[in-house]
Amino acid sequence: MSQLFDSQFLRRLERIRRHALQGRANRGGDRPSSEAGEGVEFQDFRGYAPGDDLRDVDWNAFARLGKLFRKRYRKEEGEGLAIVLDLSSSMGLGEPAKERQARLLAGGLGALALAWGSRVHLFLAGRALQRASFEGKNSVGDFFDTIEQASCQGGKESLMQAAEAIESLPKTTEIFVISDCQFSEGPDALLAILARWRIRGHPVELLQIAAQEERDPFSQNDAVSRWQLRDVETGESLLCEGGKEAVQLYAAAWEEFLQGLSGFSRRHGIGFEAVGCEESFDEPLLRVLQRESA
Amino acid sequence: MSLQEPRWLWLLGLIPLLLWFWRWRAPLQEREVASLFLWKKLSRHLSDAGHRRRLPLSAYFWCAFFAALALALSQPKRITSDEPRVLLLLENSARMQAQLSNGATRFSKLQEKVADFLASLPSCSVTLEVLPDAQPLEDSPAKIASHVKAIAPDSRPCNLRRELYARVSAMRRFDLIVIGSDREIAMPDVAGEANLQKILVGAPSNNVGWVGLTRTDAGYAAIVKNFSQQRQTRKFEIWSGGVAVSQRSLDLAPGEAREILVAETQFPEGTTPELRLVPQDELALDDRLFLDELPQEMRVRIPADLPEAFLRAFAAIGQLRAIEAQGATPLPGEAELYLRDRPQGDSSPALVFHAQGEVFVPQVLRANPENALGRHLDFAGVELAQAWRVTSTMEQPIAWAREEQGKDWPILWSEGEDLHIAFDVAKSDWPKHPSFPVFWAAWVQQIREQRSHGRNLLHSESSDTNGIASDMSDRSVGWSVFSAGKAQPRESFSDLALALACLFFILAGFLEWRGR
Repeated sequence: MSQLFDSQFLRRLERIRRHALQGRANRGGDRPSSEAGEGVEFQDFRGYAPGDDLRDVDWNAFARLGKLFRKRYRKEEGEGLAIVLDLSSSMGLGEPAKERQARLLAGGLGALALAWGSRVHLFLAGRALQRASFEGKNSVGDFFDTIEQASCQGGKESLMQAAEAIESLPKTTEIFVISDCQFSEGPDALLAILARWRIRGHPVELLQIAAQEERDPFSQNDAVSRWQLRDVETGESLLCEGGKEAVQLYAAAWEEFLQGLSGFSRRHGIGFEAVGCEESFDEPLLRVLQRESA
Repeated sequence: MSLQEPRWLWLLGLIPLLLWFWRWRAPLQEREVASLFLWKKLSRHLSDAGHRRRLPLSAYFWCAFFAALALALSQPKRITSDEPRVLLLLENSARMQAQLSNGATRFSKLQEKVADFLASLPSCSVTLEVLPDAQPLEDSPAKIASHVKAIAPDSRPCNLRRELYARVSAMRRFDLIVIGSDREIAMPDVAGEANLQKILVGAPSNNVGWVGLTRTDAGYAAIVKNFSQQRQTRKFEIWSGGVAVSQRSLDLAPGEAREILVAETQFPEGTTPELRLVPQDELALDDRLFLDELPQEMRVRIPADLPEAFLRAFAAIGQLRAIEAQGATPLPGEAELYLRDRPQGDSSPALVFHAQGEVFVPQVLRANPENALGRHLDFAGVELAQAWRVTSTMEQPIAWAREEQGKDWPILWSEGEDLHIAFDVAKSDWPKHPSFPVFWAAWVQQIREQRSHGRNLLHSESSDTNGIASDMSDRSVGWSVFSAGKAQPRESFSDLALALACLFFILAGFLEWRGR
């Protein structure tokens, strides 16, 4: 049992799965996949081999031919899911750290997708872009391990590289981007990529992770009015001084930042969810699933 | 608004240091952030708004404290009027009626000088006070000049120094204070910021006196002291047997006392050496200068057998302001001693006693063995009534005698040829005054000269050439400033600024204390 995806996580995830199962099942895939799998559309017969699921045995053929045949079904490509997980250095900030929430969300999303028979493409954007694909329930454990073992370091460059990697995926692949959207030059570059994906036809969800100290950096220490700020990704420093005026200005700037993300997402048909580090992962996950079901 | 002590404004330089101190003292917290994107926007806004940081409230109070303190020490004053204000204090006591050699009185000379002074004034407000008792009169210089011209002589005495001290607080609101009198030494210093101008009429201060001759091993010596604040070169003549035998010239620094040898022991036997201050054209011997310095009244108890003579002796020299005479006859109860012209038109003065509502005009008293004064060798043959040249045609009280029962200290007595006088220093410290030895020796000297030469050394005639409008050197700056027509009436704000400084100090201290 991993430390991150522990039994409590799994219990909550199961509750979410049951909650969302109905809507998700009714929705189904949009089109058949060329690959055989656990879909509902029959493709062909294959000889039975020990270990195959007995539920797939065509008992009628056995009655006619006296041999065991396993029925194969066409896999639905619409179930594919891409998770772009931001693991840059900035995700290590916060208490609890933003990367923890991001890993939990990614783990939850991926596990649900795998449980529903979808293929999950995982893009880990740390110092370098890592890509892994998972399929089948049995790969959930590997999926969790991959997420948990990835280190959190580097800048946002690898996150940008994920844009090209996504191009190879089918257009129906739903893309979840989990990031704090904190770019040194602003989130415009990321939003442009999301818009491009959306234009290409991908359903896109943006989960913006924020720590409490990012939403209100002045609440913890009122006495401090001088800040020597350092960008953990670029190393750039900035001296910021101010009292009440700074508090007001920062609150306005943060609100503008969130409004910018939300407005952009709404205009481009991108799902947007602002997630706090201190939230339990299942709450935002449910909100995302419910929005998709709707 | 003007500042009297602008050098204290350097304290304002502490304010930037204070701000720097608070900036340095404010904690600097290092912090890692995901991105500087938002913070850069924030910093730009803060910079644009000019709110770099928030200082604690106590910092503002400290700054205000130093600003107020600097202001208080700088003595800010606000000009309250365009017209400068002048206070004109004129002495019109009986002594001012003394005649100069040209027949004019000192006061008429003063009137003349004041008229010239007023004519030279720019547009201003002049407040006139004629001592001893005139009510203040405020008007333009021209109208004040007409008032001054119309002032009638007054015969009452005036303690100029005391009167001026009583007005010191009121003087603060004037830019220029002009005092007209014949006694420079009686003029007190006034408030430091006021400009003082003195108009002196009459004989300028001699201020050189000598302690009477004393016989030493080397001969006869005398101590000469310069009481003026200026260096003086004076000539002394040594007389013997009624003839001037030699002359000495002394250059005396201010306050300097020097012993000089008047005569050696081989002085012709049977003659008494004498030291005389040679009168100069502009300087006349005027021992009254010493009297004007008397800070307190001198009180002498005299035995019953010497009252009248001793009173006259002192009164003649004009030394006493008050004498408590024990058993003084014929002065029962309180009595006043006046000096006035003799009714016969004689220039010699007469002593007039007012006692119990009656006026006594004693005859000229000549010391003789029948009276107490005459029994003493030193006073033999002295005609006291001629010892003083009259200075007024009016009665002028110069001494008071009051009977005091129950106390009979014989503090004046004679032993052999010596006359002993003791002073009750418990009631007056005047005998401790620096001028007292000079006075006392001069008094004895004069009595001796009276006796030996039959002439009055106290004869002192002022010259009208001495009517001057002096400009004290340390006041010349103020005078020139005023002459330039600069408006100077001011209202001080130092106290208000100091109160504010205290308030800010308390508030800042309280906040600091509460912050801990």
